[in-house]
Amino acid sequence: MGKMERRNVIKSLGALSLGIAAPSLSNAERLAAPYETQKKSIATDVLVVGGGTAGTIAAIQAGRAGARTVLIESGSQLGGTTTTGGVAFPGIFHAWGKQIIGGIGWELVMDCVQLNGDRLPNFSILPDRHWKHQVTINAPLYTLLAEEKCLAAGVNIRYYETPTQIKFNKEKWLVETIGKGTSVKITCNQIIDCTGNALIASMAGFDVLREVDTQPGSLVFRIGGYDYNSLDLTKIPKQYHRVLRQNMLVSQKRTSREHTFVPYGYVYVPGADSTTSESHTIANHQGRSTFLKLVRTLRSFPGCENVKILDLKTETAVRETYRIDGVYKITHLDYVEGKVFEDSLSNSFYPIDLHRDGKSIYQEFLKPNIVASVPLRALIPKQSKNFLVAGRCVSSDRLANSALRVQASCMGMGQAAAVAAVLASKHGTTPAEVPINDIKQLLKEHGAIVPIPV
Amino acid sequence: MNVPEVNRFITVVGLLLFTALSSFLSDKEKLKYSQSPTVAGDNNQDQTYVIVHIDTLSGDSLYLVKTKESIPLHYFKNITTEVCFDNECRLLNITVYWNITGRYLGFELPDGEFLSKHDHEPFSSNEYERLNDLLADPTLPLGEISFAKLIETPETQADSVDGVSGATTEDVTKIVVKGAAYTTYTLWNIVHGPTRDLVAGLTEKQLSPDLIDLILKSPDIDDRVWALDRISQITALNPKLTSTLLDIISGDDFFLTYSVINAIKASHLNSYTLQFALFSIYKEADHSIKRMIVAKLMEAPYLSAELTSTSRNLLGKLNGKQLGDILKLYTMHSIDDLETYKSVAEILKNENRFISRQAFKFLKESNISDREIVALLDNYEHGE
Repeated sequence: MGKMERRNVIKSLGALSLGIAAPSLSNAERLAAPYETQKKSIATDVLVVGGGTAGTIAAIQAGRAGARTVLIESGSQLGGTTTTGGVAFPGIFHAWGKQIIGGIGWELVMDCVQLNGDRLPNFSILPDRHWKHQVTINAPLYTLLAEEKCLAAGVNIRYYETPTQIKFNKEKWLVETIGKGTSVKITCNQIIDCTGNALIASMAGFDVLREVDTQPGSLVFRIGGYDYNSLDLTKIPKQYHRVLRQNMLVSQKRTSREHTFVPYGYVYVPGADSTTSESHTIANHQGRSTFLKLVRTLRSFPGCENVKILDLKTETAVRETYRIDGVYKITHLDYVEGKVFEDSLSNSFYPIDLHRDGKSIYQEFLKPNIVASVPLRALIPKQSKNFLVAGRCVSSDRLANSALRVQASCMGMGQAAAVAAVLASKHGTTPAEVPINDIKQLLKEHGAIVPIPV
Repeated sequence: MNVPEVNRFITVVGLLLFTALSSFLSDKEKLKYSQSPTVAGDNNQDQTYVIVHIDTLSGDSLYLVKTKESIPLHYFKNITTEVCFDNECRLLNITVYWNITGRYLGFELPDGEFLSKHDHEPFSSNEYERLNDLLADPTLPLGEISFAKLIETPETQADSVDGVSGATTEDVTKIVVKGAAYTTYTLWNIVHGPTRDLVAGLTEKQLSPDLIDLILKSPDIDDRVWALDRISQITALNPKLTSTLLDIISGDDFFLTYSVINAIKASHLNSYTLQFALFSIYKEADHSIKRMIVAKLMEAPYLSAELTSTSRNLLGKLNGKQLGDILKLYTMHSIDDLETYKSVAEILKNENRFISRQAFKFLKESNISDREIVALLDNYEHGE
């Protein structure tokens, strides 16, 4: 066959194959069925509501303890304040030279540190600032690892869903959720409310409390495009110094293992409330407009003309909304005296840290060797059955809550609540009726550090 | 002038009475303040010193003090600099000592010399103690800012230096000796300046397993961490150092344990003894240390048969996460003996599905031909 002939053959083959493919490509579109919400029913042992700091740990723990576990999260990823809120700086896991919170929360933090090639601060040296023992982590990595651990533990993660109704019937909870095109009825033995807002507790009819004046939320960001050391600070109003200093890029490149600065910037959002879509939308609007105004202002200062936004978190992180009225309320005095109860299941270490009016922070540091603790009763709403909370909505007065709300403490609570829920589910009872030593034993088996009553 | 030239030119060797320069340890006439030494010399009589570096700009010499067995003890430098106050300057003569890790050791003033404040008042003993403590704190921000930024200079005293320290703000007074801001600032920057890194670098060149072991006995945790961070520079660990490292891992200091495990290199794990000793700690270690030990063993060039056998006996007692980690270790090191497979297959019966799934996954991925195990896997799969 001559060259021309061969070429013609190849050409005709091409036309032939196009002729075969073209009809299917050009006729690929189909009329879609009308959008319809898919209804589903699921039965599980433990339902965790909220995949934030406490909920992620609770779900992993419940799954690892062998319980069928469902985790519903209204957003698109796990981690909450640590990831979506941008406070990728969890703490505090060590106090007075000892580790006080371990378990799954610490495992996640360590995995982040290792996989990111980072190093831990030297916990053996008492820091001059408490936050120097917080651990910087790579937030996207945390998101990925948290999800991986949940899935490995067999947790059924359901993103974009939120509860609309909850009923207690025949020793089981029936929770109805709505999501993008989903409407799910979840029947479970135990619920752990990790919404941070005591949303499910309130929905279930248990009393929740709220301060008249709550602490502001924070919208977290990073900016660059300036050299802090070259700035003539005398020409920049003092209230902007902190925001410029905390965002120095150099602060991200540590020469030691401890941060010299808190490694992110934030603007306050007074009254930030994540309880409903509307209130959280308002908090996001406020945070974003405050931040935009800040950027415009900063760019008017000498040396800051090229200020750039490097990162802005997708939503305003919230410090304080609702707390449950629990079987026991942890008081300020309990916290600062480091009271350990017979049913204490996890530790907490942070200064009393109340952000006031966006202008100042009331801080009260714990005395040497004092470590606070969280009793099981503070995780159980009064009059409830088969119901626990974990995270910042723990039953506590305002000052105690201002310290309990931090990430490591919430992780510890999440793990403790999950173990209590799993054992209650296994024995067909309510968490308050599970022998406390059984809970402690299982917690220890899973690496948690359980406070020892004096 | 490089170090060998310096050594040839000015080597001062022998058993010298050390009172002239290192008498800060023994002479009661001189003002001297010190922190805990990294390595304490037992007997000054047996110490020698050599010049190890001469600053080409200032001409200052850096001396290394060592034992007659050549164990480095500390470094020192005689500093002569001007400190000015109230438009007057006076010479500051001081000897500054560094530990071999670069950590500040202490200072000493020659006979009759003393430090004074802006009002010419000599330092009190409390102020010397305070200065000693401030110099020992590497976290002070004195190296990050200029002296001018550190304090607000009153216009009337624009040219004075320590003079303005009388007007130091509350924050500044927390990091300087009151009335002696410039002296504190100057000395702190000498202590934590280039000489510190030079000293550490010189010690690094002399590191041996024995010297690391000695530094790990330091009462100061920064010294110990310094040594741990440099273990990777050692090709092989000797038995003494291995034993010290294992003692640290077994101790209750999380950070040191973490640092030791990080410091161990894959090549160190060629040693069967170290592998086995490391794993012997596993059973009693807490959750996160257990995970670190297994992660480290993943890096080992091989996994000893004894370690496999010991770990196999633990399998049924582990939580799901720990089990999963050990099984990953087996996969990494291609542990494929029937005895291990049978031990893992036992776990398929565990009522905790998270735990049994770890066993199932491992066995399934191992392509096992043993009929009994294959049957167990089939049962598990269909029962799940």
